[in-house]
Amino acid sequence: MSKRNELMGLRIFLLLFFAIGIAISSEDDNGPWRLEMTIEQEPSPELIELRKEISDKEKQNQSSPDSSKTMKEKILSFLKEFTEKIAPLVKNNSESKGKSVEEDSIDSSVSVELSMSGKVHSIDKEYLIFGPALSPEKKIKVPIKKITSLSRQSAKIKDDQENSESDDFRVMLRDGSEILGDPVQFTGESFIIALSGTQTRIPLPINEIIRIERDQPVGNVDKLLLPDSPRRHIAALATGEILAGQLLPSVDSEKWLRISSPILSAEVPLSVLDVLLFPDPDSVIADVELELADEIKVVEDGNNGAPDRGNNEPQKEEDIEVEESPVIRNLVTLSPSGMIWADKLELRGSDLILSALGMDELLVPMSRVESLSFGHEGLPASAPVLVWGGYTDEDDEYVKTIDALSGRIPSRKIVQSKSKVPDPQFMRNLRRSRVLLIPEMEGFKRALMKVAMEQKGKGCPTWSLALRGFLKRGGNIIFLSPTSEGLSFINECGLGPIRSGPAGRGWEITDEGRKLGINIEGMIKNVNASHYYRKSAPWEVWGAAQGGADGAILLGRRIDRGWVMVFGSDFYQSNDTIKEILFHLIQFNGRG
Amino acid sequence: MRILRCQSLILLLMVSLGAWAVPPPDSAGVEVVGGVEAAVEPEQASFDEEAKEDLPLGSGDSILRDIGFDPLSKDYKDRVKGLFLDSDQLENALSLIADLDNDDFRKRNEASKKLAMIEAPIEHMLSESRKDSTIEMARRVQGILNVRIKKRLIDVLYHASVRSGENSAPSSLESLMILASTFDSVTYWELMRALEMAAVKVSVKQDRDLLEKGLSNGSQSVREICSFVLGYLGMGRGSETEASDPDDILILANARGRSAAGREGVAKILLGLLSSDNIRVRQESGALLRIIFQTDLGFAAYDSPDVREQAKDRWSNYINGKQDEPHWPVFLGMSSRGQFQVIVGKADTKGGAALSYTTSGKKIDNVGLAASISSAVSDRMAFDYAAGNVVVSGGSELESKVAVFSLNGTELWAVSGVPAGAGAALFPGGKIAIASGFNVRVIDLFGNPVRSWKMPSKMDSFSRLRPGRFLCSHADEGTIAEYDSDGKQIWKVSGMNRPRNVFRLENGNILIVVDAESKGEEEKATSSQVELLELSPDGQQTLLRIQPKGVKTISSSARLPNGNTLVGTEKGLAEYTPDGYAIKVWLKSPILSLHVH
Repeated sequence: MSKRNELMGLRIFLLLFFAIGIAISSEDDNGPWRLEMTIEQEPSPELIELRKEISDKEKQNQSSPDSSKTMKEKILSFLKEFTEKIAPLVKNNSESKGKSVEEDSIDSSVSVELSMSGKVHSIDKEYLIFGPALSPEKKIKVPIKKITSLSRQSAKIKDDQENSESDDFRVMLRDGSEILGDPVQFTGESFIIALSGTQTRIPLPINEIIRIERDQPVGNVDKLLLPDSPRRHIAALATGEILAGQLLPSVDSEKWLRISSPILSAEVPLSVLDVLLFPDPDSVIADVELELADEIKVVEDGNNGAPDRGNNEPQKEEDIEVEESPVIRNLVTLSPSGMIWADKLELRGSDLILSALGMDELLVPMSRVESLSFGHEGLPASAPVLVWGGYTDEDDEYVKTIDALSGRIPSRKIVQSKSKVPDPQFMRNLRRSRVLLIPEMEGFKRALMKVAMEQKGKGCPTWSLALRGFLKRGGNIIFLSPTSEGLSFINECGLGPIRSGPAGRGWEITDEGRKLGINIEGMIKNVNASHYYRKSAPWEVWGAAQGGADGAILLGRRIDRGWVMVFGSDFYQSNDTIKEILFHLIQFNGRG
Repeated sequence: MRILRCQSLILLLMVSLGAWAVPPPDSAGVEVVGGVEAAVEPEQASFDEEAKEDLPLGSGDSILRDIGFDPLSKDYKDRVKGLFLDSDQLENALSLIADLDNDDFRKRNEASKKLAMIEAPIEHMLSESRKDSTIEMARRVQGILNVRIKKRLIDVLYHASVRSGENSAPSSLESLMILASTFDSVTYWELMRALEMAAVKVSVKQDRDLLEKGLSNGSQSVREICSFVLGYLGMGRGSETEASDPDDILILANARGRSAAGREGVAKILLGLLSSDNIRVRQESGALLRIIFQTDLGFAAYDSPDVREQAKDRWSNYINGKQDEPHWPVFLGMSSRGQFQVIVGKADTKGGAALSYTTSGKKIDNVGLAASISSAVSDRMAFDYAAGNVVVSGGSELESKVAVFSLNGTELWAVSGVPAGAGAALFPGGKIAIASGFNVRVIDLFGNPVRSWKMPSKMDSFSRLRPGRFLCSHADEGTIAEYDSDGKQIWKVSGMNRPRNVFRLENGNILIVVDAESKGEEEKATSSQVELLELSPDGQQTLLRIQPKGVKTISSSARLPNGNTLVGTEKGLAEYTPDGYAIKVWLKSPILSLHVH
């Protein structure tokens, strides 16, 4: 115990020392910031001219085969153009359609991405006043709605802090926010979290919290398997105990909390918590707990708050409307880690005032802000679904997948791309989408993609960068029935690991998969074709094989702020069940 | 003014710091390359690791260490002295080179072996000897060079000269003059700038006689060095014997020395030299005036006489309104910037990458600028040292990315989704000129169009040379031209075979890629389809022709301080000697752009 006290003492000392360090480093708060914007512009006459010129040149090249090409180049060229030229011929696409598309692209608007380094002078609800590094004598006024993000150019504070030992807690909230701080008080209604390295104290309603965990657990909680008890609070203590029950305020002190179950009740200081898990606020409290709560009420001495009875009314299943109005929110990323979703932002002196977490004015020192993503939509359901068919069978799975969405998602909300490389057009589409749906990549070959990248990918990001960037923005990616090299694509993009697994005669939605909102019970039959995958961390198994096999057909894993989902149905054949499942995958917002 | 003096002293002090020395370990052994046995030096005594860690190394010092001349080693000074030939050694080296063409096989062989082992830089002499030589001699020279390239002695000479100070003097002034006499002052322009400074470090007032005598030396390089040192020491151009027929190049060298010392009275000398008949004199005089006064009045050595005269009048009015006072020490050449890096923009299917190398070809990791440039597509890189930034552009023709970085790698501004196929340039005040096809569009920081102009012909490359001066190549028209900020053509050279990727070196010369003259079908597969030319500043004289074999595209080129040229192609990056021979392959992947700084 004395050793532990010494350790805690050392940690407190380091924390204090660190706080001083932060205070010093925050003096240099107005360091360079990077402002990013995306602007849609009408094409200039010169650009239209250039587009025409390039289009004419391409037409000319297509009509006159280049005799100077080597055999290798001819083969590569054939491979590259197979899906572009031969496949459309087989499909007998009309020329007129192609022509109108071409004309559209010549006159289409230009999406210009801008970024600049400089100083932040002020931020209010509508404008940012910015001093660009390239023209420091100027102060420019930028409408907030035009800004994509504002981020600190040097991650100095982060680096400093990463090197120091931290005793902070990580608080994860249901709206996606995540805060690094210290739970200093529990009032029964909310936890007061002291934001790391600041004087800011944020009261967080307990219904909004998913989990509070020590950044570096004192106990061996990381090795423990916490009980699966969705309707109870679960606390893992630094001393090794695990408690499950109803979270109640302590009788004696706001710096303690009480966990009560029907047979025992324990009070623990907040400082010994390693992990505290919060149940879904909509879940019904067990009768016994209610009884216990009533008991407590009877004997309460005035210090205890009333227990949260939750909502006993049966929950109506939430219908997710595709036309839901977009929720525009701003994402404030904190240093060294953490993020807060805020409705409004304003810079007041050296503090950023947020309207967030149920408060109108939440003060966060600007020195703790790493970046601001303005108007970040949290990718609402109204944003389009991008169906990417760069390497699919356009006649079968690609078309059938899109058909499967008809009647459920308006066609204007489905954006199609058959680009073989993440070119600017693809990236533009990806940026405005919230879901990237990838029908079976039947035609995917590494060699083919390499050729495409060499010939058309100049200046493009890698697929890995494009997809990871999308996930970072909170987008979801759905892969349909990836097999062989399609699986390699997932793995090489860093979205795996995933491998084929033993197939079942059918499958069913797991408890974990219920978060998708799918209301299908019992075994789901395989269709032509169904593909199974090996169950392995970090994948959550949402659809598990039945009939003796141990594979999974529906899996999901969180990466950054988005989800990667793999569904082993290629939609060559489909039925209402798998169409329903696909629809729910598309609607999934990650919160369950 | 006192502050300027102090800074000058600090600068000299900084240069002189580093008089610490360590011997480099070298593996012993004999290697047979190209029929020549190359003896590698025996292993040296181990050096003091502690001292090595305690004392800081500049970028040039690190390069010296990389190529086996550790400035912290104990015998560094002696080893550097070994670079400098005395007159007997020079005579012996020249005699051995002559023996390579001797009728007696044994003499030829003996000469090959001895030349491979000489511990002084003789690569340039060997290269020179290859011109108009027999096939066998050329083959032997190439073999010797292949062995010697690993020693990179001209690189050592350059960096050792740059860092030379009181405690690590390269050698005596006399030996330095002998060595300098072997170099051509035009081809080895960068090296000569370093040798001039080294000569200053070893000279004292008592050397005046030697320096004045050197003004009539048979070697142009020696004459220039002597005149430079005299100017640096504030001694004038020399005795009356040559004053009656002053050579503009020597007057310039003297003015260069005065500028390097920050002495007063140099502006009027340089103003006079703007009217010189020698284009190089005009070029450097104009450059020095711009640096001294931190202003550009539009003088270019290669402009037509009437345009030059107008610019000269502007300078005359400007200078006459000022007192000709002492000024900041002003140097020419990349050593003055203290940077010794090669930034290579590499084509990469993974989206583009930039790498950083020492000027002797060793990869340097964790370079902020290279890492930042990797985030852009570096088809073109344009460094502006006066403004302290680099403009990088590239990507697809219709939707390119243009980014401006500070020299330490901070991204200052970037735009993507604009057509910038020919290149981009930064204007003062944060406006950006973006060139594509026939058009140059100037946009503000928010991408809004400010103005635009149309070029007479489609551009293949577009870059800013100086304020109000842009260099373009027009492949279809067969011309390279310079334009002002309104798009008015102010200089042009015509009649080229599809010129592209044009770049003006600091000494005013032009590096340009053109189509090679077509050859027979049989030769096509192995011969070069494109060639890199180095032209005089006015584009009228071809000074160097490099024809990389079997390549279709030369994307970029850059001059190394050792006088060699780096050439980037679709096949990789190679180093060529001043006589146009490939001497070292640096990389074997497609290259987009290059810059030495």
